[in-house]
Amino acid sequence: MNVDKLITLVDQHAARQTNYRHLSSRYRQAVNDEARQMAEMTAEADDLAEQIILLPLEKLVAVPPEEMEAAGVSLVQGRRLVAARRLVARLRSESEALAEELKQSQALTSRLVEFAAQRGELLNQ
Amino acid sequence: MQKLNELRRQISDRQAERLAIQRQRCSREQVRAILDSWLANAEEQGRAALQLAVDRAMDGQAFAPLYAQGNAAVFQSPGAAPFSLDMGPLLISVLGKAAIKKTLSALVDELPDGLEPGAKTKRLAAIEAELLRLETEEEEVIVELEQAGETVLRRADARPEIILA
Repeated sequence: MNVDKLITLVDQHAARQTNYRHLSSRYRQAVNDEARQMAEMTAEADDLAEQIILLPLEKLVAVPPEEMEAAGVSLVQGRRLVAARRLVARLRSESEALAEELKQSQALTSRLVEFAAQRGELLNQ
Repeated sequence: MQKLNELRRQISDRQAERLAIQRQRCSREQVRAILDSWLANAEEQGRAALQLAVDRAMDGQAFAPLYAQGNAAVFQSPGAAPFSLDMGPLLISVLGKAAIKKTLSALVDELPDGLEPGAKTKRLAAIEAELLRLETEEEEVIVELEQAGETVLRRADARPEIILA
């Protein structure tokens, strides 16, 4: 049995777990940032501005600048919100993909470790 | 990567074929043999029942050749009496084996071919050998890709004995 390869694969899985933790943390941070931005923008906004701010990303992008400004949302605020939403969407998609990879990697790693243990190779010793 | 994807497609195809064969309990020919055996038994039972009826008539007893008898098992839920009665022998004795066989054979003909037990064992062994070859080649390709700097995720159901060989 190739123990070196087993150790490498277990290490690769551990690296995936670390990457996933970092990505999840970035995703949570991005969600919080987006929520904070929205809270700041809606704090003093009127109903029309609030409606714009609460629009989903694809609709928010399509709002004409003049309509946004007329509602009291500056172009810079609008762009920041779009950027925040895009970041959240991208990180969500990356997190989901990595979670799926991690699940697959976890299943395989568990089987490899079990296989090795049955042959007397205990990795935690 | 293209080679790896092609190998994985072949592995998936073979695994699906293996599962289909493992799930298949009987071939069409085996079902046909079961039908023939059932028809033969039922015909014999039907003939015996009719014979008994005419023998009883000869003894002066009531003549009831098509009298159906069964057991109603009443338990747990009085009022609802599950009742089962095998009409096969009676129908065969009246309609003849050929008529019943014709109806049932038409349904058997529509079954998928399936594999005979011997052929099934042989095919499963061939699939196992092919899977071993494909999975070994898959692992070799993955190692080559990794050595070239690519990150490749192994299948969750990849065999440890092949990966760690």
